[in-house]
Amino acid sequence: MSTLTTSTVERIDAFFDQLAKRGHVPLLDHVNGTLEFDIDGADRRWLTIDRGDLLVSHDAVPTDCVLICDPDTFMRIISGEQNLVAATMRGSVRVAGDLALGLSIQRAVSDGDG
Amino acid sequence: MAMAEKTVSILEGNTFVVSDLAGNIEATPVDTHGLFAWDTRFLSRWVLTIDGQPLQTLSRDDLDYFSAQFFLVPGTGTVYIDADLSVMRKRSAGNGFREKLLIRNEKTEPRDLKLRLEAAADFADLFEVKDALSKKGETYQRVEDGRLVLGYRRETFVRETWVTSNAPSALDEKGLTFRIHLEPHGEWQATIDVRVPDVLKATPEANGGAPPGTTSDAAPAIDLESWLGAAPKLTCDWAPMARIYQRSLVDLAALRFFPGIVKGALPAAGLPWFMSIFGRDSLLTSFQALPFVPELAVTTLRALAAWQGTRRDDFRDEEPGKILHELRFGEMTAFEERPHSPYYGSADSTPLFLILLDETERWTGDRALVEDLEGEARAALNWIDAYGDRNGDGYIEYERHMKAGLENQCWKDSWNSILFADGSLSKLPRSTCEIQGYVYDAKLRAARLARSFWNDPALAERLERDAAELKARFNRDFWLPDRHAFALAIDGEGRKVDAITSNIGHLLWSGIADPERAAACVGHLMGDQLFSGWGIRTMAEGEGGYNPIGYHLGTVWPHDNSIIVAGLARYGYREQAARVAMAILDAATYFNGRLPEAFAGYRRDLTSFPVEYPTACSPQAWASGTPLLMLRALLGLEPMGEHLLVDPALPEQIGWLQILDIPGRWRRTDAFGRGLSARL
Repeated sequence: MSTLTTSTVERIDAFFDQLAKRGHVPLLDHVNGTLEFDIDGADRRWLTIDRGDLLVSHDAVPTDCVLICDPDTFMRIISGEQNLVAATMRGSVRVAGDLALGLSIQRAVSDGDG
Repeated sequence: MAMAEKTVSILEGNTFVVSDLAGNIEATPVDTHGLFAWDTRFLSRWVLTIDGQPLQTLSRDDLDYFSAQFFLVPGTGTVYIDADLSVMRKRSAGNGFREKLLIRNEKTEPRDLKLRLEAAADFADLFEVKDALSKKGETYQRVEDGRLVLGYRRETFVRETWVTSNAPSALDEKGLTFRIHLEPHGEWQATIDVRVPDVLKATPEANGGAPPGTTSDAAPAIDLESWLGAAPKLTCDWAPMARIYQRSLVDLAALRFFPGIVKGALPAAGLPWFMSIFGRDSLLTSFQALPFVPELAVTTLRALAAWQGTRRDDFRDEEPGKILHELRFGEMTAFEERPHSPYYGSADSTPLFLILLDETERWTGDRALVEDLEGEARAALNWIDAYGDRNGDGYIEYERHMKAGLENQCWKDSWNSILFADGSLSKLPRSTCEIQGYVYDAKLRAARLARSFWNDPALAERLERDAAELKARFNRDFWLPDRHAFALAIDGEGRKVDAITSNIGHLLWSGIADPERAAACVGHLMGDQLFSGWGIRTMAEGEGGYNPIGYHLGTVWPHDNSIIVAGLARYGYREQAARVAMAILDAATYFNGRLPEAFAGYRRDLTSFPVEYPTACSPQAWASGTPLLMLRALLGLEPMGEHLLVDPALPEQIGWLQILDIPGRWRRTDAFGRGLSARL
């Protein structure tokens, strides 16, 4: 496991905090299930989506899908620089389990312009 | 006439295999052989020899679209010499392919022989095959745990092909060798599996990634049987109709693509280059097929909704609410050398999405579908006004944001399709006429959905007002008074692009044309310049850009004709609709019942048969769907409340036509039509 710089850890934390605060993402209204984020060097997180309602957890819950990638790729995805679908095709993001659920995360980071 | 075939193609799910007539795969720059899946060639070489000698084909049999059988004997000569060995090679596609080999010793002496299967994979992206580009990563081969692994790696991008056999064999990095002893009249058999792991799954071993219908040898056959069994039954006194209908159903079954992110299958656009999701093609094919196989529409709508654009991304021409153009899975897409992950460069797929959504509810009564997709439908409506209309002139126009995108984002998507009457090229951004018609239709249909299902009468009223204004403006702004026709487009300099084209027929399908202007369009469509006798040309003879073998400049496209036939019928030109439908159905009889993507625009009295366009895709989904929409128009099938209206108007060649068990909100019902000749 690599060591992450404080700023990377903070930015990843901030992303999940922000998700938790948003509570509901209309673009995820058709999405149900729990994702585990396995980001190399960072704390694991679980995101449960219930028809667009989001719940972020630090504790393990049963998952439908695991998203595995390095922190750099993850940062680029959540900032909108990196397209998740292309990254998955390329193997820089690996999705185990429910693929549709894994790819739906793109919608959580990109509602509206930019 | 079909050209002499040099290849055998089989397909199933997301896999297709193109080989020579002996079953061998030998990819060269000119022979696009291979095992293809996920837009990647997973085998570029697969050659069978016995004692170092190639085999000769006695006969072959395309059993189904998913399997083929090759009967071979040793020797390469043109003269057949009594062979002492029979070789049978049977191949079935599905998540790779399975090949069964059977060798029989036809002599009374025992025999020892060495059978060799050479295997190699270049992992070319389909785009690379098309454009003859070279690879950036490294291929590798290894033998492990009784299997041959052919692989390719470029950074984190890994693709592998796994080859195993159930008979003892010696594996090496270039293939499999079988040492075989045959008793007099003895037999030897082996089953060889070539597997392609799912490219998007992290753990292919565990997931397998097999689309439905590939779990056993018999599954595709059972699946096809139930597909055909569930479809309505057609009988007709015009003998070729039954075969054309059967061909359409089988080809649509063959072209089913499993998008993976939603359950079910949708139509891929066509073999060999377009075995993927295309917004426009999947939507229009599903529309054509609605009275016969409505489940395609449901999957298409759900899959396209799941991939609907959410952001501005100029590389992909993506915008919020936009429906995708094309999704690809190959290496160039993965490395963002191509924008197809997915690419959104289509100006018509978004209104077509709304049209299909409404039409699907009208046929199936699937209330849950339109309630479920309300958010996506609203986003699509917003895209039309906020993004589709780029310059605020009230029309959708298109222009790619990046060079990787498509120059033309309408169905005539070749770069030189939008020409003036003098043959000169129009400027970007372009508003083509048929897209404005689709928007008109989409808004009226969405108004119905808003009122009946979304409990939003205010939206319904606004959409109806918008549509009425659009219709009035369109009939004024696109009309060419000198030519008595609608312009093909308005270009980037505000000029009316004045070539006479088949696009005006789509305006009838949408209902945007005023009745007297529609009458003028019908005059053009049925006149000798547009109507070749085999169908309506994409561009009228006599226009500066006309070319009977130009992709969108004079060829006849069956699907284009099916939309025009539906339009003629909508405006009450039933006799003309029947004439065009009959011409296309007649053409189909020259292609063994399978309409190609396009054929040449030569006059019917010049050629005694329709001349196939050289590189046409076949089967192609919306060509396969064409007879289905023609049948709907000929019988005048129209849902009305909970019932199906039947109002036939048949061409004179057809005495009677009957379709039983048409599925819909009425469960199942029958339609029968009697022709003019039968009535007299």
